[in-house]
Amino acid sequence: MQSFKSPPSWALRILHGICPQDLIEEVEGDLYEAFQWRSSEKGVSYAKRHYVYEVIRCLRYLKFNIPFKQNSSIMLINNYLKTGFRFLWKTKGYSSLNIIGLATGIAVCWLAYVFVSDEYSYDRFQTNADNLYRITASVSFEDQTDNFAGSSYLMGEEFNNRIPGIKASSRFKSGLGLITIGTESFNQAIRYADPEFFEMFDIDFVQGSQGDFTNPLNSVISESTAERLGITDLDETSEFEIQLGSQVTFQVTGIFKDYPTNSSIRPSIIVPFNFWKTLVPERRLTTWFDINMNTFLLLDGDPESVQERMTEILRENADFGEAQVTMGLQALTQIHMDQDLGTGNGIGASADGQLVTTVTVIGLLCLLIACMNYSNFAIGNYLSRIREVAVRKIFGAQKKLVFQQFVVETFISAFLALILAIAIMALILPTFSEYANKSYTLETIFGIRFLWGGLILLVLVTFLAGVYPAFVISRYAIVSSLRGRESKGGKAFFAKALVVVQFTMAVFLITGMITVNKQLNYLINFDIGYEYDNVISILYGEQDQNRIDKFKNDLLKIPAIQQVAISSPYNGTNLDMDENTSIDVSHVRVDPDYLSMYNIPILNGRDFDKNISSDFSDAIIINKTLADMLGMDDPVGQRIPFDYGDLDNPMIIGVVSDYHYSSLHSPVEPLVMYMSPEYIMVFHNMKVNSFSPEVVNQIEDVWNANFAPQPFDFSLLEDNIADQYELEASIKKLSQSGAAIAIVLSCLGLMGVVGTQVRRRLKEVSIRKVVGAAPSQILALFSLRYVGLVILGFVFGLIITVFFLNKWLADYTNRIDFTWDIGAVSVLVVLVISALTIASQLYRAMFMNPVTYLKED
Amino acid sequence: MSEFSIGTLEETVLIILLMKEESHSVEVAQVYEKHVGQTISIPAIHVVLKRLEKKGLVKSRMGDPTPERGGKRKKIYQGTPQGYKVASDIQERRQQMWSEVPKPSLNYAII
Repeated sequence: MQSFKSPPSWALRILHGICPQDLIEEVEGDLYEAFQWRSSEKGVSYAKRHYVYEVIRCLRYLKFNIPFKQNSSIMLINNYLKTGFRFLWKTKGYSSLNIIGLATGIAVCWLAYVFVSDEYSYDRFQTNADNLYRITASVSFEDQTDNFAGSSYLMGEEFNNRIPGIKASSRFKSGLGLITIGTESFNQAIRYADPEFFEMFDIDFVQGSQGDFTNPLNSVISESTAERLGITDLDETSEFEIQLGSQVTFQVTGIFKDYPTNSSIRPSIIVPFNFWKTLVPERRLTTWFDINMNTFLLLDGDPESVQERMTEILRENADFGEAQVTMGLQALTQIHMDQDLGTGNGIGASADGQLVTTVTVIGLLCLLIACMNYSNFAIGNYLSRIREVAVRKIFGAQKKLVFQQFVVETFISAFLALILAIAIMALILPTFSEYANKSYTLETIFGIRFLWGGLILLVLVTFLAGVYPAFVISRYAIVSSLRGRESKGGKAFFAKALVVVQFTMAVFLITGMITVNKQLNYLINFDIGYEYDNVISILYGEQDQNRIDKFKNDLLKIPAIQQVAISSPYNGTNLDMDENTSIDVSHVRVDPDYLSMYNIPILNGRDFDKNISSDFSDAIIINKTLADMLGMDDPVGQRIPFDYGDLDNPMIIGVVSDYHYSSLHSPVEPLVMYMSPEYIMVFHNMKVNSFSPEVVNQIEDVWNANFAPQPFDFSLLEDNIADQYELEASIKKLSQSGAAIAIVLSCLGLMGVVGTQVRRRLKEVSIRKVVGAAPSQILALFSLRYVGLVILGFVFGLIITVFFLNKWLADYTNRIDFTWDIGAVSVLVVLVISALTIASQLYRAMFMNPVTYLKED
Repeated sequence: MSEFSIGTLEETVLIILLMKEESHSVEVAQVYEKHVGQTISIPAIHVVLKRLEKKGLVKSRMGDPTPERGGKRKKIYQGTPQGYKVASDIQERRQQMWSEVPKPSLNYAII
């Protein structure tokens, strides 16, 4: 006896669902036989695939013109759709309100999905995504651990040769050079990479290829860069000139497609690492622990053992004294979502966890509120349909079928809402992408991920919003439904619970919004200890002291400029007081006008003086925090071992107050200021009488006279300081919009609940009015029912808010306290809005003519 | 052309049916794949068979259940005289047209 394999049973069930009754026997038999034939010829899995395909193809029988008995379940679904649409049409007002609410919730959640899934999709498009890693290092000293994302040149060279689990490795580093085209100059970011880069990462060449990437003067550029550089057709003469230390001409051997936005690496120009080698002193190529670049590894072995081997090799070759140095690996796909390890050096900024969380919470809450509204509306409306249900039941429909019917109806509404949601998304997308710092347009987000999101939402909404009402309706007993009597208990309880939950969410969102707002204002208006208004800042690194001095003198000739102070960036180092004590200090190189321009108060001692020559080589000023940590009675005149660069046990000549030189997210760190030329000057800041385009033009002229062809670019210091709180600003805007939408949706829900109640009790109200009840009494009758629920919602909402917001605020060193007035304001807002909503629904009941509703029976 | 308009796939299936006294759709699919060299889905054949049946070019009857069909009965199709006539008309007309195409000559080689 020959054994028969069986086709997938789920496909068979689908076949029974879609195939007309009079064809089913023939079709099922034929497909079964064909399945046996194909599995004997080309294998079972092929046959299975084909079977499923053929089952789907059976849909075409439905288009037959020849008469056949209809499949009963298809007829039923047709009937559900028909009654569903009829009912929607009959209750146009409520239904459209309902669907708009649902659509808003879906739109917000869909956007949130697009954003969050985009953040999580970073770098996953790379073919080798699962096996690509970046080298990291961590240094522990005593109880302090610092993590670095990066490696040295030598690590990128040696690990690959010595560790078997590494298949390929490529260093990756960023650089900046000046490109001049015609009369225009601009700063162009470039990336250095090794030849293996092209094997490890996906790169799509439109023209040419990477060629011989060991040749230091070859390069590949992206399509958009090629356009900018005016390179259209690639040939031997395609090249560009760039100022990287000196003028260099690179031959272009390939043009590649720009990387998508969800990529951590988005190079525009890639030049070989062999070129970088020629720029730096020999020492940097042979030092083991000089972390200043990224190294990517393509592994074919176990990451754990590679990490161990890397640590071993490093410890064999370099001496770290007391410190424990460990090498690590970070998966490429983790880079974007990991906020602990730094980015930069060619790797795009990582996602912000807080922003992702905020967007997720807002999206889910809006969807939840919208679904609850729908359920509530649905139950209210369906009560007018229990007679229909009863008739269906009498004709033999089981509970299951009635349940199905109402789920199908929810599906119709959800589907219509989904289409409407796309329109709403198109409306709010520009605002959203501005708030979230993304460049989304409907075209860029439209894709397979977008459609999946829609599909998931459709199912989710149908389930969340549809199951409960369908369950309630299908449970009604036939006889009492036919009489038009309603069973009450369960339904009222559900509606009440919904009101409570919605108010909890609304209070949570509003309180959250007010708190974020307040915290942001607090940060922006915080007295940071120095004057920064009317300060124009030019960012430009210059080594040559003579040029800096000349630029400064020329600037001071402009009458509108009061003072100029040129300084380095703030950096960090260790101050080793003795063998056991080491203090992490920040330090900055300043010029003599720094303290006076920013009006930083000197608590003790004196300012730098340009007439005292030792101030340029042997003097430092410290801040109060450092003075306190040093614990000296009178620090001025003392010497401390701050041996940075050429400084050798310099003397403290002054103590300044603790001004906030970095953002308020962290407390003021100990600080050393000096004038000796250890560090490159970058910030050319000037205080002007008032900011005006004329002043900027004058500054630009001075700039061009000194530094042409470098492009002139400036910013206002106040803007730069405000930018430190960009994230808070984003969260503030998003939470404001989210809270507003949530409130509107909650009000819709409340309207639904109250409206239903009013409609069901119109007769009772009429009688009350006939016997003399005043409109105000009617108002009290209804609204008092909700006072308890609303208060309960407030209490829950406030508890949740206090819990989450205190946690959020705890991350800030300088923060507002969560006070009850924030809670009170939000409660008040919600109360007023909800009272208005209730009143709008009660208006009809309060002022109706009782006769209208009494004469019905 | 006769009153029957008939598509290429319909024609092919009709010819396959005329090859044997009677056959069902899986056999048609097997013969089709053997001669044409492409796979074809069973529902596609069903649709064609129903259409041919409606035009009166084939007729059908239900057969007996067999184990290789999972215990289901099969529907057996058979070409009608009408079908035979339509098919042979088409072949003849096609032959006629083909005979008027000139033999490959140097002219073609130059192009």
